[in-house]
Amino acid sequence: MDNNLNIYLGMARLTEALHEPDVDLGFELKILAHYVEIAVSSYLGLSITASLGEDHVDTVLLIEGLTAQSVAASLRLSLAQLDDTMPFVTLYASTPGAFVDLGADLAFIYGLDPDAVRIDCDLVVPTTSVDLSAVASINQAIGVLIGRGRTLEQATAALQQQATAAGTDLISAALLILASLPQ
Amino acid sequence: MPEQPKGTNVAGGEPPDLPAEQSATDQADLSAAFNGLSQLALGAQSLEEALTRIATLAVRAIPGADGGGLTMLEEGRPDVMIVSAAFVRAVDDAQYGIGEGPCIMAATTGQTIRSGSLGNDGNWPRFGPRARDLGVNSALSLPLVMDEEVLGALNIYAHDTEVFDDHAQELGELFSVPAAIAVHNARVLAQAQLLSAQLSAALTSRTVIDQAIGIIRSRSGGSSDDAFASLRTLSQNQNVKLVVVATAVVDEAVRRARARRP
Repeated sequence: MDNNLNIYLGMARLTEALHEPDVDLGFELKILAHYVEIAVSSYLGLSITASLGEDHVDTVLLIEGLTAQSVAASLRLSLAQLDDTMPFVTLYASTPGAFVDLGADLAFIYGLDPDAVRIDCDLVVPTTSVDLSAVASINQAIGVLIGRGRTLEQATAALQQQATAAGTDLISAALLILASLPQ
Repeated sequence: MPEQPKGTNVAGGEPPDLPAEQSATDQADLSAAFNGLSQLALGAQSLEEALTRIATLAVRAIPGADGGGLTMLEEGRPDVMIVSAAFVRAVDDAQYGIGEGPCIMAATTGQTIRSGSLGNDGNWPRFGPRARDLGVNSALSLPLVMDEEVLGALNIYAHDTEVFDDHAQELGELFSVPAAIAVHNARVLAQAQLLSAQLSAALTSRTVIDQAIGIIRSRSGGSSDDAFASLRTLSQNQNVKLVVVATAVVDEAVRRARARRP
């Protein structure tokens, strides 16, 4: 399936979860890309990363508009000053130094913490993002285990144990649990 | 340039000779406004706060201005509207309600629009008299352009007639260049913040919704789509958000699990 189509299907699913009639995450993403394109003509695309799970591992949620182009400039906007769990946005461009003005303006004029604006430190573009449908399967499997009488912590641990015992990853263990359900 | 109706001037014109004292004062006002623009805020502020500040600085930069507003365009339609004074809100509401006026023309043509007698301006036969009735006779609308895209317009108003001359227009056009950049940067940041916050909320909601889907499937079988449809029906019937229904399902199942396994 086309990568961008995948992103917008995932965003539609997340939009549905928000249950806000005026919000369309796919559209919001397109707007952001459009705005950056106006400010930086060599803009290539963006990625959004969040700290997920108990270990707060940085996980790439989505990569928009990027293919195999060579990236020469990046601007990472960490918006954590608003909320520690807030995802951060990384913008990519093909011209070296393309984000210097925008980054400096955002940091200075809008009073962002200097650490919140990172210029040209993320030139390696992530090639894979987390599969949101895989995350959904893991959470559904945890739900099945809760439905069978475990607490959330016990269900999470049980899923991990099943994966370890079968020598597989969490997603495979989750899919096995879901496949065992009557249709 | 096509002939303009009385009262309107679209861009252009040589700056008039001004008394040295007047010119120095205007230059000082413009410098102060530029300085304000470059130090828009030393502290995080919302898009609306940033835009209000820009509109206020524009009023300060342009001689004769009594108030100003800033209109952002989204897909060609006015979106965020900011005003520096209450009377500007009334004028802009009339302008967008009627669908004609200097700001709309500036945003459409990408050119500066000036009128010294709105009530007699043939360009806006319905808006002009309405503005005059609201006590506003002069207008200077400056398009905010970046990379050939019109982002919106700065609208400067004055109560008296013929307030904005070529010199005021020139100062306004000088101010509108960095103002467009500041406005656009504010928009990039606000959109990134909005998307991040919504995504964060969606991910949190989605986690509990998927857990609730799993609980429903463990009890009644069926596909995840069936379980999601059940949740959605519950949400609609109870008139509460999906995430609230899902949280209730998970909490109840966990409560039962704890009761069974102390």
